[in-house]
Amino acid sequence: MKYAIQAEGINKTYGKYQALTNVSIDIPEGKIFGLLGPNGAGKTTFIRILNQIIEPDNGLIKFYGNPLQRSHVEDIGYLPEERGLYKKMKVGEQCIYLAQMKGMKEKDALAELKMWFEKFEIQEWWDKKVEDLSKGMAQKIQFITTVVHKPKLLILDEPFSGFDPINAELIHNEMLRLRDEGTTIVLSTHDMGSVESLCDNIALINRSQVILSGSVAEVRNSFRTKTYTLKFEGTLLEFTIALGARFELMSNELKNDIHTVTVRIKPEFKLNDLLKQVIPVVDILSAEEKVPSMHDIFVQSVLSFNEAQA
Amino acid sequence: MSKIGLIIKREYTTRIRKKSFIIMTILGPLLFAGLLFGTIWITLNDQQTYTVLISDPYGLVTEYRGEQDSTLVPRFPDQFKDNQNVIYGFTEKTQKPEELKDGFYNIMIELDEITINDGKCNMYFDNFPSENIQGKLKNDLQESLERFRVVDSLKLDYEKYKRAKLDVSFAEININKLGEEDHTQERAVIGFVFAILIYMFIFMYGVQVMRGVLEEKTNRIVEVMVSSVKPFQLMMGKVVGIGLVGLTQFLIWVILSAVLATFGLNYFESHLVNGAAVLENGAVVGNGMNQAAMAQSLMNNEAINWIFLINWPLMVGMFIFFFIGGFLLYASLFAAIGAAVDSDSDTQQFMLPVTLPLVFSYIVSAMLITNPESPIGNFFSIFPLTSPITIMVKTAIGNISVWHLISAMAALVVAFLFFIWLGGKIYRVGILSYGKKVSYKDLWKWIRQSN
Repeated sequence: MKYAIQAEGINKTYGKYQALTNVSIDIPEGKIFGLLGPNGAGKTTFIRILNQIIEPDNGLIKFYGNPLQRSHVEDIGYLPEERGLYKKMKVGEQCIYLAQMKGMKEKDALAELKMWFEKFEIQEWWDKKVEDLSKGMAQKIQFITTVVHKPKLLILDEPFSGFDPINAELIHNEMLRLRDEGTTIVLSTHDMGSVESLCDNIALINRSQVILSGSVAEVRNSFRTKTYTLKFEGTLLEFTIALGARFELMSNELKNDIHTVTVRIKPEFKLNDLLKQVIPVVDILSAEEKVPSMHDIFVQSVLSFNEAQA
Repeated sequence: MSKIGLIIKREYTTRIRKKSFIIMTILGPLLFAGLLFGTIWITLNDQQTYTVLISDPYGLVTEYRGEQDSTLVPRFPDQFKDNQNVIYGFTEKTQKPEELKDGFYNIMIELDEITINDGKCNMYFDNFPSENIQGKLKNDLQESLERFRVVDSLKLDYEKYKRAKLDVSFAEININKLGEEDHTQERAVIGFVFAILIYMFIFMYGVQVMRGVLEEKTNRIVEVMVSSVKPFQLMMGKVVGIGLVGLTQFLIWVILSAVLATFGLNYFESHLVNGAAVLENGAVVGNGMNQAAMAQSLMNNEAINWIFLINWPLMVGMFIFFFIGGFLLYASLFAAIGAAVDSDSDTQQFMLPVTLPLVFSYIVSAMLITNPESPIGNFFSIFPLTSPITIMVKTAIGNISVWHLISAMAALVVAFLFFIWLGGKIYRVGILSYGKKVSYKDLWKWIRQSN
C-alpha cells in the first residue's frame, strides 16, 4: 500500500508536558483517515506537526515517501478547528490571498475559485466583506480556501461543526468526491457517525499515545463480541430453556408480541448452532450480528486504557 | 511574488485604503499648519483697539504745547505714537477709575509722584490687554520716563546717554569650532522636533502592529496562515508592511507640509510688513518672546542662518536610519505583546516596560535643549532602546563624535536583530496559545522552548 503520511516514533513535549509519546501513524494514500481521540489527547499537536507549524522533538515523517519538508505545505490543505478569516477583507480578495499563500498564481486562483463559487452558488458573496457573512457562510468560504489549491493531503479538524444538516451534507459529499479523485483526507472529529460513514482507516490517540489503529473494518472486527440480535414470536421461557449453557441471554424486550433479544455465543460456536437450538421452539423473524459502533469502540478503548494506567 | 511580499502587500494595501488613514494623512499637516499659523495670525491680528489714557498730574511725560499752551502732549514728540491697536490720550487730572467704564478710554495708566523713582504705576483696564499691547505701553512709558530722569534729574544729554546704553547678549562659540557661532539651543529644538516625529511614529505604528497581531490571533486566521508561511515571515511581513504605511504617511505629510508652509509663508510675508509696523516704535516688544517678534526674526535672514550650521545630510541620514531601526526594534516587541495576550485589555501589563524607555528618551531629549552636554544624554543616545529618539537632538546640536554615532548605530543594529529574534520566539508560541493569562514566567519559557 502507498502512504500519504508515514509518521514514525514522533515525540513532542511542551516543557514538562508530554503531548505526543512515540506516535507512529500511517495514512494510506487516497483514503479518508479518521484521527480520533478525547480532547487534549494530542490530535491537534499531531496535525500541527504535519502542517509544519511546530516541529517534533524527534521522529520521522514521510510525505508521499519523501521526508517532510517546507515545500510540502503547498500540497496540504488545512482547516483548523478554531478557524477564522480577516473580517475586514472582501471575500474574493481573501480567497485569492489565501490561495496565493498556498503557492497559487493569482490567475489560476481566480479561475479555480470561480468554479467553486459557482458550485456552491455563492457568486454574489464575492465582493462582500467577511464580517457581513453568517457563520455558516464563512465556514463554506473556509472550506473552499482549504481545497482551492488542489492539495494532495487535506486535513480537516471538525469540519462539520457549525454547519446546518444541508451544508454538512454538501461538505460530506465533497469529501467523498475529493477522495475518489485521489485526495487523501485526514478527518479529526468527535462525531463518530461521520467516522463510520466516511472513514476507511482510523487511529485513536489517547493521553499522547496511539492506542488503536487500522482500517475501520479491521477495528470493528477486533471488537466483535459474537453477540447477535434475534427477533422471534413465541414464549421467552421456551427460548431461554433452549439456549442452555452455550448461549448467554444479554437482554430482552417484548413489543407487539415480538421478542427482541441479544444473545452472546461462546467463542467455539456459531450463529447456526444457536439457530439450530431455538428454531424448534420459537418462530425466528430475524437474526443479525450486533457489531460494535465506533462510538462504543472509542469509549471502551479510552476507558480501559485509562483504567490500566491508573 | 514571494509569500512575505504578499503579506507585506496585504498589510500595506488594506491599511492605506482605510478611511482613518486617508483622513489622518490629509488632516495631519492641515491641523499642524492650522495650529501654527492660527497662533501667528491671532497674534498679528489682535483686532481690538485700545484707547489709553495717560494720567500724568506731575507732568513726568507730558507738557502743554500749542496756541496758549492749550493741548497736553508728550514731552518728546517722537514718543507715545499711536498705531492701529493703541490710541493715546493724556490728562493731568486724576480720574476715578469707575468713570472709565462709560468713557472713550478703556485703559488708564496713572503716574504718581513716586513713579519716577520706582517705575511703578497703576494700569486700570476693563479688558486685560495682550502681552503685545502691554509691551508697547511699557516700552513707551519706560523710554519717556527714562528720558525725563536723564535730562531733568541727571542733567545729561539724552543722545549721549543713549549711546552709552548697552544691551548684553552672548554669541555662543564652541572652542572646538572657533570662528562660528553655535546656536546650540536653537539647533537642539530642531533636533527635538525630529525626535518627536520618531517617537510618534514608533508609538502609533508600533501599537498598530500589536493590534494587527492580536486581531489575527482572535480572528483565528493565524493558524491557517502559519500552515502556509513560517510564523517569523508572518510577523516580519506585518512589521514591514505597517512600517511602510507609516513611511508613506510621513512622506505625504512632508510634501503637504512643505506646500502649505510655502503658501503660508508667502501669505504672512505680506502681512508681516504690517506686523513690523506694529513694532517700529520699540525694536523689542515685551521680552522678545511673543510670536510676532519670533516670526519677524524668522523672516530675517541673519537670524535664521544658524539653521545651516546643522549638518543636514547627516541629520537626514541619521533620521532615516534611526527611524527604521527604532521602528523594527519596537515593532517586534509590540508584535510579541500582541501574540502573547488574548484581548486588548490584557496588553497593559506588557506595555509598560516597552513604553517606559520611549517615554524616558523623550524626557531626556527635552532636557537636552536646556542642558546639551548632559552626560545622561550621551548614554541615552547610545543605548539602543532610547537612541532612536535622543540621538536626533545630539546630532542637531552637533556635539557628537563620529565614534559616538557609529557605536549608537552598531548598538541599534545588534539590538534590533536581538529583539526581532526575541519577539519572533514569543510570537511563534503566543499566536497558538489561547485562553490562559500569560505571565512573564511563561514568556521566558516560550523564549527557551524549541520550535
